[in-house]
Amino acid sequence: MTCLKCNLKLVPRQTEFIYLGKNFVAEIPACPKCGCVYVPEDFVEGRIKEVERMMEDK
Amino acid sequence: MTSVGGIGNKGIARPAPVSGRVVSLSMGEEVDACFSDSPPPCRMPCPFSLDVAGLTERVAKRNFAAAYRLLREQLLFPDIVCAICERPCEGECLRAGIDGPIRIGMIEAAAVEYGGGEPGKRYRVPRQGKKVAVVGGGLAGASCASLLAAAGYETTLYEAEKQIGGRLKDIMPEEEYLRSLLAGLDSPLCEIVCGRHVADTEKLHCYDAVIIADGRTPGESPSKAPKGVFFCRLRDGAMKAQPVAEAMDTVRLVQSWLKTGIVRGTNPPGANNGDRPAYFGFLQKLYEGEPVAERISGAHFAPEDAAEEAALCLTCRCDACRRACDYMRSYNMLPRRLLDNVRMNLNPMQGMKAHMATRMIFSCNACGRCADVCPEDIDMGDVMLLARSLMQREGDVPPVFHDYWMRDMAHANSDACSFAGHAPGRDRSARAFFPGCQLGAAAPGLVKKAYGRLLSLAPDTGLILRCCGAIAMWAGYGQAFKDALLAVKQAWLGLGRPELILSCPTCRKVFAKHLPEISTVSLYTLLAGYGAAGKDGARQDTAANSDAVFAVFDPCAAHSDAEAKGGVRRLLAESGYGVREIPEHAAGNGCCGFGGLIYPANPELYSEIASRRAASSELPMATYCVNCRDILRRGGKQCRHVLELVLDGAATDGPLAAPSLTQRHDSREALKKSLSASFLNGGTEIPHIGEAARPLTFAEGIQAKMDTLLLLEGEIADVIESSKRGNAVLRDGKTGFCCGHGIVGRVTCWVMWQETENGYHIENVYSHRMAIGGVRM
Repeated sequence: MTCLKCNLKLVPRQTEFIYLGKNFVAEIPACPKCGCVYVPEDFVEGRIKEVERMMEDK
Repeated sequence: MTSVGGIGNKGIARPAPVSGRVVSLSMGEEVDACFSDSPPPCRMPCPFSLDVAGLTERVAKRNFAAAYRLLREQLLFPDIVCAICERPCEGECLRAGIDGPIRIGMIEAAAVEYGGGEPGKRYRVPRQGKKVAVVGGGLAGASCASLLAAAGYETTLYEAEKQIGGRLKDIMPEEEYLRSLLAGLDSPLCEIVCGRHVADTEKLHCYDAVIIADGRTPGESPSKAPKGVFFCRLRDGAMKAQPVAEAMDTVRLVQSWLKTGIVRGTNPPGANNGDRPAYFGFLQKLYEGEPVAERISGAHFAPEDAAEEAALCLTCRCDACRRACDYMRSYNMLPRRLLDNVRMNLNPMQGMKAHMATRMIFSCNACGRCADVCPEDIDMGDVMLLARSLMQREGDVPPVFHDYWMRDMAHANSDACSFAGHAPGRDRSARAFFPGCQLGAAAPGLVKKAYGRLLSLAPDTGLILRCCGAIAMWAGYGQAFKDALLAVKQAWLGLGRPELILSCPTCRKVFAKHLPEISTVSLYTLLAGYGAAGKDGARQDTAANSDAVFAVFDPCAAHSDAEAKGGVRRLLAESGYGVREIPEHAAGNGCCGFGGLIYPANPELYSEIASRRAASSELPMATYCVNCRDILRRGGKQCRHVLELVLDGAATDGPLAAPSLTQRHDSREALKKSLSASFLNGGTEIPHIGEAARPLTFAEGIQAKMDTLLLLEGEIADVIESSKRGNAVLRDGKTGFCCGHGIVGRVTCWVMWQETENGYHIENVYSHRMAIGGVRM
């Protein structure tokens, strides 16, 4: 995956997610220059949904 | 590659909502009348109120040792009691009406035979430092002495005869009862003195308390007897095992007196002796359909026979609501336990999970089926709606649970879609058609035709297009609900208080409860009253419909709307259609899944319910809620809206599609546009309702996926445009697809697209509820 603005390939970066007042940190691809992130669908369907559900039930 | 880091907690633990705590206290009243926890009929005549269901549960699992322990706890001398008991429990067994009563006596005997034998556990009980004399060594006296010694009192049992047992010797072999009694009295604190007749209790002054259990009666209650002297008496007509039960009660009195100096009267166990519980008749009906089992005959049970017989016990715990409700079955809870969970959720204790029941509270369809089948009319939907409104007030609900539908309601009530006015060329409305927010979105043509038909029947029929507020009510947004009701009322007042013609059963329910000042009539009743088949605009060739038979799927909101139910059936019959009933609706209509907006909170339960409803009849279905229609269609069911059948005479074959969310959104706007642009501004016809043109094409399956994600085409276009504007577009090197993301309502939406000559071809769409925060560069 490439950032069209910076013309750079995305690299893994620690990224913060926020839901229901709680935060969750994961390493996902991001542009090393502008920080534009990419959250792959398999990650959304797996870990993200799992954590969302956990936080909703917490 | 992605990897997962830790989960932090930026917020602090939220305190229990005080307002929730106060209101939730009164919630108990909602389920006060629930008798699911009341003892089953078999316990009523039992002097011990024996937990028969507990016994049969253990025996059915072949756990005879546990069954025997239960008997010993509740009967004290199970070997004796089971041998002499008259078994009044069997006379009350509800299985009697099916294939004969459960043979409880023989199950008890099996528990004694296969689970007894081992002596009971001896617990180290601290000595109480007090002495009690028990006069009379019969079953009652021995029971008193056994219980007192086990409780730590130094006990002396006086018996006038040479051996204890009293009248037991007349009804069972001496060696059997002696073995049992002596085992029960085997305690260092218990002394048995036989051959000593105690005529005068004054001689027992060295004891702290005396129990007279030799048949003498003082002719007065224990509390009026000389201080410290208690009489363990039997009432006339007492059962043979009654002395043990009376002894238990007397010992409770004595213990209370020894500890506090006060005699507290207590009811004997099985206080309702002989009285049938009020709910007996209801339970009898509940079990009417139980299959007849092949019963085991004989006077003695082998272990497997006893287990088989015990497994037939109905346990007689009312669960009519759970049987009828998919939601309660899914959580396997009855009203009291549901309420306990709601209360815990509203009043979280420190250190406990605060929102453990949030999803449960937002998974109820609030359809009222539980109240339909409940003899006490307990509606758990009302409880859940109250809990939702409290939680929303405290901000304790994931906003994404109702975000889409609240935006949809706002759309229906926006200037782009809402309308209120008199009929063309009229300055008053005797009645006004109120089709609700869903029919105009899912089937705008039906609104057009139905209104046209109403005008042909009564030209003074106005029109109001907006949402009644049910969406906000289900979501628990109290203020938004009030605002929506107020807007409806203002529109109604503006038209001069006409009678409203309602096509949506949910609107009918909301109006009846929250806007009782507005007189309403069901559209179907009205059309049926005019005779649908013989009027202009109605289906003329009723003979062509004669082979078409439909199972009527009554929407849940119509569960107590006899007027609408009857009108629909008359209307279909007048139009020449065959009408069949769905058997499971006899006990109350089930929700199609839409009710209560449970989908975002519990999509699994929603799908399960939708599939179950689609399978509830093999016939094609006719319904009068457009959401029911579309959900049943998505489940593969041939389902028509009643108005389609009556006004279109639609054929029953061929696939029937449900409109997408985008189509619904666009249609609602187009309906308003077309009505206000032409028909209601002096035109004579309602023009064709067009669809919005967008520069989007979709890969196969993507539009259906967008519906499951509650995303609209316009929103996808916005994400692409905002990504491009913000210079935040990525490109997949392998596929060449562009990728961008944006916020839609409360979710983050990802779109993969390719640019085309005329716009964009959407390759993929997905979303998540979490927001993306900062990137650590």
